Amino acid sequence: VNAAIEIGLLVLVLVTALAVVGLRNLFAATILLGIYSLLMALSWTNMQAYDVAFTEAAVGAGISSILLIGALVFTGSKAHLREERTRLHYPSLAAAGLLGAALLYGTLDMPAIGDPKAPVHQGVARHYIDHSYAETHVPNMVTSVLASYRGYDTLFETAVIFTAGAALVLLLRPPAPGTPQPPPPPSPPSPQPAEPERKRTRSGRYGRYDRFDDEADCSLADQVVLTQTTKLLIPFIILYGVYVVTHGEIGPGGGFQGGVILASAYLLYALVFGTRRARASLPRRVTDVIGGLGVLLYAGVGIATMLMGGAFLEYNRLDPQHVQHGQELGMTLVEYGVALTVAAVMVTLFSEIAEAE
Amino acid sequence: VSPLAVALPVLTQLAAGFRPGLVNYWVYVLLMMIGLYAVMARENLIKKVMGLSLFQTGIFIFYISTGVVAGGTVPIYWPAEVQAERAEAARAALAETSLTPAEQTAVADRIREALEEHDVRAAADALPATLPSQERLAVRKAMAPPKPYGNPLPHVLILTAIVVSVSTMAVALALIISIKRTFGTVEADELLELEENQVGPQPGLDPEAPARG
Repeated sequence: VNAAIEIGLLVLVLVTALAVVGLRNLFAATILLGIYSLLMALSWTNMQAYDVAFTEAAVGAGISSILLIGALVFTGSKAHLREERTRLHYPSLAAAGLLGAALLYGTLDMPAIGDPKAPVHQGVARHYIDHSYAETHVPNMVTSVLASYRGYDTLFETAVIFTAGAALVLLLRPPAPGTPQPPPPPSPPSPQPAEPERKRTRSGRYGRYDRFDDEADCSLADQVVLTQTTKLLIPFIILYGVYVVTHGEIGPGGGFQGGVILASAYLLYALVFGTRRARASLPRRVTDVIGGLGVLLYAGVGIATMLMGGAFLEYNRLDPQHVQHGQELGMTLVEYGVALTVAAVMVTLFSEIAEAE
Repeated sequence: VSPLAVALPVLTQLAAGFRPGLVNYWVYVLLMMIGLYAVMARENLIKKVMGLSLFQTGIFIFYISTGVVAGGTVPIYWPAEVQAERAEAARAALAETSLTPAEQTAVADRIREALEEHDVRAAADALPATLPSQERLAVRKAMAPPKPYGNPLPHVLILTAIVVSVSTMAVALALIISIKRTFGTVEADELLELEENQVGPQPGLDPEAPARG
């Protein structure tokens, strides 16, 4: 039964992926991409990867759909109809087909899925399963590998996320009032004349409705049921996010998943009440600082262990009498750092894209 | 030569090598190729980003599939109750062995301590070397976990990759928004036309000159 469900899910995943590529309506493709992520999360719960499914459900089905919609509002939701764009593109098909055939040929030598003797289950993975509890006293192996054994990796992943947030600020944020303006760039080339049959995107009909803006002609903030439900939900979302962050050592969860859930509380508020009111409740300066603080907290734990005479991120030094306590403490602190950065950067990514003018 | 004539023998060769244990790997290849096709063949930049995202999730499926252990479960240690049950089962199985009652108790206690620490290796090592192999097998079977753990390592790699992938997608979207602002289009072929009209035919490029076309 399990195998049948898994294969069924994978077939659905493939069909959805084909539809995403084939659809010309980008808004529909975005929604399908969210469904695709949800199917993916389901198939990962089936593949013993609860932590990953958790992340995919929060990030793939939630945040990335909202980011794509935010960008579509800016760029138009229909891929333009031109005759040559609707046909199959044979050179691309041939290139993808050739590469695909080579990769498929490569899989023929792979050990079957689930084979416990496969090389991937030996070596360091064996060590994590046999000894990570004795060494760290953290029941969730994914967390102990993430935050302790591969702590350097995770530190720099967090730094990448922070950098992405900084890049969005640089690309999209309008300069603060009062800063000297650079001379206006040469006037941009006028866009191509629109094809006569090109249909207008629907955002025009509702005025600024689609811009997540409370000054819109037709605002979600007028919908009583929606606003009241949102107000009721947000404290529980935040509570759940904090739970996921703090219980990542014991069960599925941790800083990445919890951080995304915390950010989703802000996203929900901004989607319903408009970005202006959301901004007023959480100013840009605050999220900017929190995003940096998370990385600093993570790196600071590393510096602290160095000052205590150990190596960078050697948590054992935090409690030399009882090294497992040190490990637990170090992992908890770096997970908090990850959660702060992820939550703040997700808010930044959303608001910079949604507020782009 | 028709492309089908070339493709058909390759496909039959591949189909002959297929085993049910490879389904996930084949899905990963197909997903990656669907994504790659979208990146190459679609002109809309947002569509290209979606294709990249499909490409990435294909790789995620590959990693997670390698971590699966047949009949296994999530890589989170069994709760204390389950480990206590396993220790009791080992104690019952030891009572059937040729060891003296004192030895049985000593070994059973060592197994219980090892299992409380979730250390399967130490629990297995607690059995004395003198134990006949048949009895050793019976005890080890009694204290076997209800299910083996899946491999945590691919989960860690992909968990962080998912969050990084949404961040990089946001950077791509921000660049696309900037392109739309500057050029008024997000279709790759229109952008190329704009560039050709500006740069191609004119010998002296003047950035102040309005673009033609």
